[in-house]
Amino acid sequence: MPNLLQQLENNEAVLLMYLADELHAEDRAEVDQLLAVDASLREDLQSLRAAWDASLAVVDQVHRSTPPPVSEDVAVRTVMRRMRKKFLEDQSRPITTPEAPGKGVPRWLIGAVAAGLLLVSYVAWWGLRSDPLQGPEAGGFVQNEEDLIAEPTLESLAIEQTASALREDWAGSDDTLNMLAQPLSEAEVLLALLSNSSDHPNADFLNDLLEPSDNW
Amino acid sequence: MTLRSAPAQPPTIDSLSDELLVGRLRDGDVEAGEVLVRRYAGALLRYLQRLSRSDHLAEELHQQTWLSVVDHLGRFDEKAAGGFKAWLFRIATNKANDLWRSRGRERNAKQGLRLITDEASPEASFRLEGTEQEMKLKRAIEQLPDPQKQVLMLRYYSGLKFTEIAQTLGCPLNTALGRMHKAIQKLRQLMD
Repeated sequence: MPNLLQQLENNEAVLLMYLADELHAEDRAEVDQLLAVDASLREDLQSLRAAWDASLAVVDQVHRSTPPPVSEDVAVRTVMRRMRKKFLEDQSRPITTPEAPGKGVPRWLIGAVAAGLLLVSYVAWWGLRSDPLQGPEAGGFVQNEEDLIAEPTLESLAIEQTASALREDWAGSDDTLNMLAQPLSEAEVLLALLSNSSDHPNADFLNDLLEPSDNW
Repeated sequence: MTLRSAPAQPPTIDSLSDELLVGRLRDGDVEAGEVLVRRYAGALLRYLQRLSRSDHLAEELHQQTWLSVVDHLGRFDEKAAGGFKAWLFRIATNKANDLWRSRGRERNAKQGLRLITDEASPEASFRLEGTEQEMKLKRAIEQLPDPQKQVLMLRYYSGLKFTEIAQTLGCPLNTALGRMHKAIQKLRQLMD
């Protein structure tokens, strides 16, 4: 590593690298020159060398006096048993080809799509919630006062028109099955069925619904 | 008469470099893995023993280290300083750090209990073996802060250069050297 000497912050670092013989020849020669003229640096080096030797001697003595946690053979066998098992498990797994970088669907796009779906779901839920079929007359369906004064929405107007059309179509006929021939939605079929059942708890509401109303 | 040189023997698997063995292991050659494990098991076990202060944990960490090596073979960079050895000791150090981090929260709560149970644990009885001097040396090493102990032990057991140790520990060279300097000064003080 060129210019290593310039990277070292202090004399201790320089001397440690010198002791460890990890300086390049040029850097080492430069330190040698400094040592030749600087007595205090030489003292520091001697002191550091003594501490270095003593420390490694301590570690060495502890190493020699402490048996290994487990014999090397046992350690190798144990590791190899687990390693072989792991290799077998990995081989038995279905092979999946990693996607090339940049070719997969970006995560931000997945997040954006998920957020979009959530938004659409919320709008749809909100639309259903503000459905005039669950209006104030239904009793118990009113969530808050805003529902009572809500402006008619495009959806509610469309439903009103459909309901009017149904009323005209069904006038004078009790055969609710006729409406199945029409391209009606489930809500409309349900509305028709309920409107013909006078004992239904919401029958009054539904009857009112079929009448022109200003509440929407 | 001409002298004929003996036909060149194909190199045995034991003589292959770490990097070649890693390549073979990556291709599914478990035998290459065994050569690597055998090559480093001794030093690695002892290093983990010193870091974890427990024979049982050292053995478990040793196994986890090698399994992690297998898991991350694709990430091994042959050109990185220190080669496979530095990478291996880095994984081992991280495993030991993870262990102590996860146990850090429990440590304080169990400190009192450990002081009692240590007396009866295998490690404790093991520590009581040896001479007074050996015990004193062990205690001196154990008293070193973990970062300083890691540098000292890496130097002793792996033989890595300081530049490689710094890379292994993910710290600047000056930091690694500072830790080593403090460690050896502290050991000297403790032994005096």
